[in-house]
Amino acid sequence: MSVEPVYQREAVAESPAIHVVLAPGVDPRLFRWVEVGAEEEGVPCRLAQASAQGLAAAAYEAAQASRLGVGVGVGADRVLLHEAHMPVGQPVWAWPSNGAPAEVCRRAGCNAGRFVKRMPLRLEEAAVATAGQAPAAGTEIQDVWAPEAIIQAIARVLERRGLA
Amino acid sequence: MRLIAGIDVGNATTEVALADVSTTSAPRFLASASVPTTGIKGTVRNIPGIVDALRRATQSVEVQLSDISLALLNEATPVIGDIAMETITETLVTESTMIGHNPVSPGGIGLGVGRTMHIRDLVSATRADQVIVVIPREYDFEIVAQMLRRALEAGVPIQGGIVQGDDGVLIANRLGQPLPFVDEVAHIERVPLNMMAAVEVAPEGQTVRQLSNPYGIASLFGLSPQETTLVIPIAKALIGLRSAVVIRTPAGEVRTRRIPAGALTLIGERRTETVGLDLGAEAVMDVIAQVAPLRDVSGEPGTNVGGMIGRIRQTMGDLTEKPVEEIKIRDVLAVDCQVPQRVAGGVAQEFSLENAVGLAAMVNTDRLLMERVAQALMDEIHVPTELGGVEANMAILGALTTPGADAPLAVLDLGAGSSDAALLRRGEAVRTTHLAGAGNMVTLLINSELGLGDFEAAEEIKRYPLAKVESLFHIRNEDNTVRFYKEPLDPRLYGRVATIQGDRLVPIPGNHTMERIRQVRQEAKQKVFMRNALRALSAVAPAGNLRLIDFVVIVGGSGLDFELPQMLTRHLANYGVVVGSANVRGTEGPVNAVATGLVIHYFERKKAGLV
Repeated sequence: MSVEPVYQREAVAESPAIHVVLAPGVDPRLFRWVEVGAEEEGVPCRLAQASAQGLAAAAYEAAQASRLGVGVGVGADRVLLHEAHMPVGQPVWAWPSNGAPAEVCRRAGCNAGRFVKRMPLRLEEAAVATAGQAPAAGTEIQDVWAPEAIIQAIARVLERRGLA
Repeated sequence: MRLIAGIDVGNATTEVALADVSTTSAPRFLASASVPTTGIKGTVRNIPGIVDALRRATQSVEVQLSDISLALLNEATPVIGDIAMETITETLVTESTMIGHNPVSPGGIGLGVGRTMHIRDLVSATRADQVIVVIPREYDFEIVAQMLRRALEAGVPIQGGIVQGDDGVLIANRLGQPLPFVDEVAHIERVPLNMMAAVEVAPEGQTVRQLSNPYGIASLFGLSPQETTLVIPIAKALIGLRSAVVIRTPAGEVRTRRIPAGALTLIGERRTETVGLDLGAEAVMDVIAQVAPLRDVSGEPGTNVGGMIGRIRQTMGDLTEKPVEEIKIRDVLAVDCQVPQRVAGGVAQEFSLENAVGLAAMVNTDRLLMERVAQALMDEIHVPTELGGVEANMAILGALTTPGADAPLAVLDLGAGSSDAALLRRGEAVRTTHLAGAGNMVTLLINSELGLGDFEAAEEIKRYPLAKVESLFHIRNEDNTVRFYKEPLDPRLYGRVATIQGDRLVPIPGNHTMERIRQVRQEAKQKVFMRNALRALSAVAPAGNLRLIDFVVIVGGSGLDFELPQMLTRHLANYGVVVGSANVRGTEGPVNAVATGLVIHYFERKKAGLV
C-alpha cells in the first residue's frame, strides 16, 4: 500500500497563510470576507481553530500558528489583526464592526495581507474600495441576463446591512 | 561685572551670547541661547524672538534682563532672498486616450486588445467582438466574474477590463483564464465606449513593455508612421508602470506642451545679457558668471519668468517698504528640477514628470532696517542697544575662537535665505559676498520633486536622516544598519519611510522609497549648497581662484546638517581646500559665531579705548 510521505502532508498543512479565527457565535461566512480582502493583496488565507479564551488571545494563537506570523480574529463586535511578535494582549489593530461586519472583515483581510507584504497599513480610510452603493447594484443589474446574480446581490446587500 | 549681550538675528534662528567684559584679558562668556526667529529678519517683528533669547540666556545664569548694560545687534547681512518655481512643460490628454497608472494591485496578467464595452452591454456581445470590458464600481466583483465567465463560455472573446474599484485581482482570479484588468480607475465615466483599446498588466516586479514602446502601440492599432510619431508621448508617459491602458479615439491625443518660460535679462555692471530659461539652469548660471557683478535682473513680461521675478520684487517691496521699482536683484540662482504634475484630462489621476525651474533671488536692503530693530528693542527692554558690527566680520571673529583655527581663513555660512562667505587674510580688509539660494531653496526642491505639497514635511526630510520601518520592532536606517526596539512601534508607521527625529519617527507622506527620497535630498543639497559654496568661495578668493584658499570654516545652522559638512569636505578636497565645521568658543559648535563675534569686537574696541 502506498503511504503519503510525511513531509508532503505537513507542507500542505503548513503552507504559509494568514490564519483567521472566528469567535463562537460569529457568522462563519465572515471568513470569506477576510479572505477576499487578503486575496486582493495576493496573500493566502486559511480558517483556523484556536483553543485560547478571549478574542485577542485567540487571534494571537492564530498568528503564532501562521507561518506568516499574522492572524485575524473576528469577534461579534470587533475584528483584530495580530502578529506573532506582539504581546498577547496587544493586537496590531482593532476595528469595531460598526454594524458592517463584512466590510470590516474585508478591510482587516486587506491589512493582514499588506502586513505580510510589509506595506503600510490602510487604517484611516472610510471604506474598502468596492463596498459599493447598494441601491445602484439593485437598479443596474436588472438589465442583465443572470437571475441568480441578482439573488446573490440582494443577499449580499442584506448581509451588509446585517439583516440576513 | 559688566554684562553685555551679542545678538544675531538670522533668517531662521536668533542667537544670543552673554558675557562679562569687566575682565582684562578676554571676555568671560556666561551663557548662550538660540530660539527661532520671529518674523522676517530685519523687521520689528524680530523683537519677541530677541527678548525670548535674552531671557533664556539671563535665566540660565540667574541674572535679570535689566542687569545687561549693553545689547549689541548684528548689522545684518544687507540681503534678503526669495524663491519661486514654475513648471515649463505640461502634458495634456484630450479625449481620454491613455490610462497609465500604478494601482497597488492590478489583476491578471498579459495584453488584451479590443473594443471598449460597458459590462451591462456584454449580453449583446457576439463571438466576433474582441471586447475590453468597462466595469464601474457599483458592480460587485462576484457578479462581474459570473457575467464574464458566462460571456467567455458563450464564446465572446473578452480580452481584458478596466475597473473602477480595487477589484482587479478578485475579478481576474475568478475567470479560470489569465486576462489583464487595470483597476482603481477613478474617472471610469470618461473612458469612451466602443473604441479600440489595449490593456496591459505586467507580472509582479516588471513594467509594461508593449504599451511603453511607440512601435508596440503602432503594431497593436495598425498605425501609420505619421500616427506613430503622435503616440510617442503616450509611450513615454507609460514607461515604468505596471499596468496601462491605451485607447484609440478619432481625435484624441496626448501632447507635451512647452510653456514659454521666457527670458531673463541680466544687467551687469559692464554688460547686459539675455538668456532663455528653457536653455536650462546651467546656461543661466554661466551667463550670470559672465556678467557678474549683477546690478539688476528683469524677466520677459507676460512669461513665466516675468511672473516669478515680478512676485519676488513684490514680496521684497512689501518687506522693505520700498517701491517695487527700487528693488534691485543682486544675485540669482537657477536650478533645474523635475516635478510630478497631475496630467490634465487624465482619467486615473495619472502623474507625469514635468520639467521645472526654480529661482532664488536676492536683493540688497539698507542699514536703516536694523537700526529700526535696535530702536524697537531698546524701547522694549530698556537696555542701551546699538549695532555692533558687520555680520560677516563678526562671523569671522566668532569662527576664530574655534580651537585650531587661525587667519588666513574663509568662513562659509550657508543659511536659510542666503549663502554667505567671508575671507580674512592678514593685513587685508575682510572680503565678503552674499549669494541667493540656501536652505529654503533646498526645501523647495525637495517639496517639488517629491510632490509633497507640504513645506514642513520637506523641511524635515532636509534635516533628518531616513529609516524604513520594517517590522513593528525594528527599523532599517538609510545606511542599511538596523535598530531594534523593545516596545512595539505605532502600527501607523509600519512599512513607511520616516525621518528619525531624536527618539521620534515621523512618517513621510506618499509612497516614495527610501532610496528615492535620499537621492532627491542629496541632489537638492548638491544643486544649491555645493554650487553656492563654490560660487561664494570663488567670489572672495584672491583673483577668484578657489585653490588660493587654504582653510574654510563652516558656521551657522548648515554646520549642524547631518551630511552637509562631509559633502563639502569631500567636494572641496578636490581644490586642495581644508573644510571643517566651526566650534565656536570650543563649546558651541558651528552656531553662535556672530553673537560671540559681537562681544569680542566690543571687548577689543574697549581695550583699545575706542568705547
